[in-house]
Amino acid sequence: MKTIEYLFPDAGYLYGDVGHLFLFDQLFETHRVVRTPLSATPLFAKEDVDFIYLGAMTERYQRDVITKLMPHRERLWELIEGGVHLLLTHNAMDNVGQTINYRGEPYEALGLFDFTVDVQRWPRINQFILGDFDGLGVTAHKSQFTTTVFGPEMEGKHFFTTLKGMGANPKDKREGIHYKNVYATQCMGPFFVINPPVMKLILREMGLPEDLPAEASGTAAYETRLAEFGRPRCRQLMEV
Amino acid sequence: MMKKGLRFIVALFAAKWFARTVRLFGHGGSHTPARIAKRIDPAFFEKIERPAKVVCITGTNGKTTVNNIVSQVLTKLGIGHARNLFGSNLHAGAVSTLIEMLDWRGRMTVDLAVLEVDEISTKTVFPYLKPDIVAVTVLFRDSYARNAHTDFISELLNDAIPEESLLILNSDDLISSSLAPDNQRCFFSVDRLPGEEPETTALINDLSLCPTCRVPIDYTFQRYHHIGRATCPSCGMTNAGADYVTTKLENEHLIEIQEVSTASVHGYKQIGANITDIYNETLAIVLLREMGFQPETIADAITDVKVKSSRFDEETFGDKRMISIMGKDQNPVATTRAFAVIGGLKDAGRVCVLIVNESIDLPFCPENLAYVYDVNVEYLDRPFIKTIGVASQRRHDYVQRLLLGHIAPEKIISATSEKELANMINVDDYDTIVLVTGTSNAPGIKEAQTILRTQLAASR
Repeated sequence: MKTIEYLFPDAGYLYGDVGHLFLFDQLFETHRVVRTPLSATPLFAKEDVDFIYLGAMTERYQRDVITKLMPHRERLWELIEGGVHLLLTHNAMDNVGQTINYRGEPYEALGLFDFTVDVQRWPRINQFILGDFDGLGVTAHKSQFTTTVFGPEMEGKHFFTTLKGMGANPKDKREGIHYKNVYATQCMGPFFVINPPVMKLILREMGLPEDLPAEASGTAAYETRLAEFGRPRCRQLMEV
Repeated sequence: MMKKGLRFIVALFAAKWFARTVRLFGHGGSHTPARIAKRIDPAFFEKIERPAKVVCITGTNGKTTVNNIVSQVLTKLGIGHARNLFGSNLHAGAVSTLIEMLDWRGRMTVDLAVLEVDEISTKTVFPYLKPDIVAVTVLFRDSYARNAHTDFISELLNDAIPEESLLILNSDDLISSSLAPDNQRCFFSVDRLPGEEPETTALINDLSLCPTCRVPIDYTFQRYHHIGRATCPSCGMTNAGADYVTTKLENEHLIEIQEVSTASVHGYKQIGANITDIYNETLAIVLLREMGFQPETIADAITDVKVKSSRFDEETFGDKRMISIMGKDQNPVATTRAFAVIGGLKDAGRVCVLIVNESIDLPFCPENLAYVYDVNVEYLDRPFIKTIGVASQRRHDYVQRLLLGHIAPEKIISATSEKELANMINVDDYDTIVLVTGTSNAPGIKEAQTILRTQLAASR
């Protein structure tokens, strides 16, 4: 039996990220699933877990989440090195970088990975994303206030390379984090719901059956998007 | 007042000439006059003469309805005013509305403007118009691309609202009722209505934790999402006492609003049946009261008011019905509310729900469907709902969402277009057909409606 932890679902899980829970609840139906509220100590701080998920949140809650996790960052790193599956989507990824510069006021993030995030109110960046993850196509969207700058230690640790749409920033096609079993992306989707091949890969890594709920329609939707996003005429409404 | 100058006059002439010309050809052209004027004179908006009194309506949902009710009452009372009635609520729409009311020499011809203003546009409209009254319907999560989340919109409104504006706020909404705390304000509320059940299952609750203490808020009555009566068990934050309270509905045709300061109760014709209609009507009446109109005057004028039928439209064909209800594409709360209404239909017999809220896909830029994961599709999981159809190039995404929401696969049908979907339906199998439409009147939706109307008429 695996132990699955959803971190702080009460902090929002914005932008459809709650959809990940619909998928995970069904995938991990026979496993131990724990929802940790913002007021509680994370389960991973007290015992080993196999899978952790954290979704998008408001910038206000982002600070709370970082404060909450800060005392446990060494423990989180120990779990990452030990192979825990850690999935982070949208601005949940920002929390594990070095600093978040919120409209000119920088504050410290968890410092687990070598990147910094800049948050501005304008413009809001809206893009569709077509990417390549080791030969696997991925599709998603971005709607965010942020741009990210990767430091030298991120070399070889990004999740995928964008073919259309920006990666970490308009000049960097590298998107997200893939280090050991950490899968983090600043995209929305919900990313792991709308990219079935990636979710199947994660299940394979966890030693679990790869069957997905609603797999036929999910795969058809994914393949439709992949073909459509790849067409030359399919382009961004706003170039950043 | 800023000196207007020749550039302003040329800009005004060009904008008014354009507006008149397109009107001759039967078009609205709501945003273009402002854009023309701004291109000629970048400072055009700053130079416009402001009407003596300006009232602005903003908020996530209900702006257009409230604006329409207020404007129709004012028109019935013979009071000339500037108004943007058809959802042209962006900056350019507001400017175009004011251009209409300027004479050829740039003088304002009305003393009053009642404008609905999109939340994002308040940052450019409010500093210049300096509204005397700002009425806020409600704040919810909206388009992810434009509006992000309610913290962002609240912050933006707090920056935009002039300190001299009187605010009219919904005390049942703990998010919008906290706006611009130093401004003068009055609150409205709708009491728990007879037989009204709480709705605690909505996926979206933008205020599940206290914004100060971060502890879960206790809802004594959760109407839907974060709307209702609630208290923080730690700091005691709770709903403000309302100055105007809609207390009950009489005979399903009359709403009664209590004015707390005078302990008086006044009855008004009920314009719409569902709770969002009641909120919108309450706000419209409160706004008119705060503008100085007497209850009896409003009650008399409101009897003739009709709200835009595109939001809930019902047609009967013998013993069958076709209902069109607006879900608003990209807005998860509006779509959830539409699904809640459908899931709560009484005596509708066998129901077929067709989700045809035309995707806003442009040929070259694909739509983000993340919002459908915030929509309670589970509200459609009712025994009387026999079929749920989806149509668009994103149909597989919709089907995936419905299945992850535990909708039975045998109930789901899909098609590449609205027309194809409508042709898949045999109306003899149903008593009620419900179309969930989007904000655009896309040709596909009209085609689907026409096909179904023809079938329903033939089946009488």
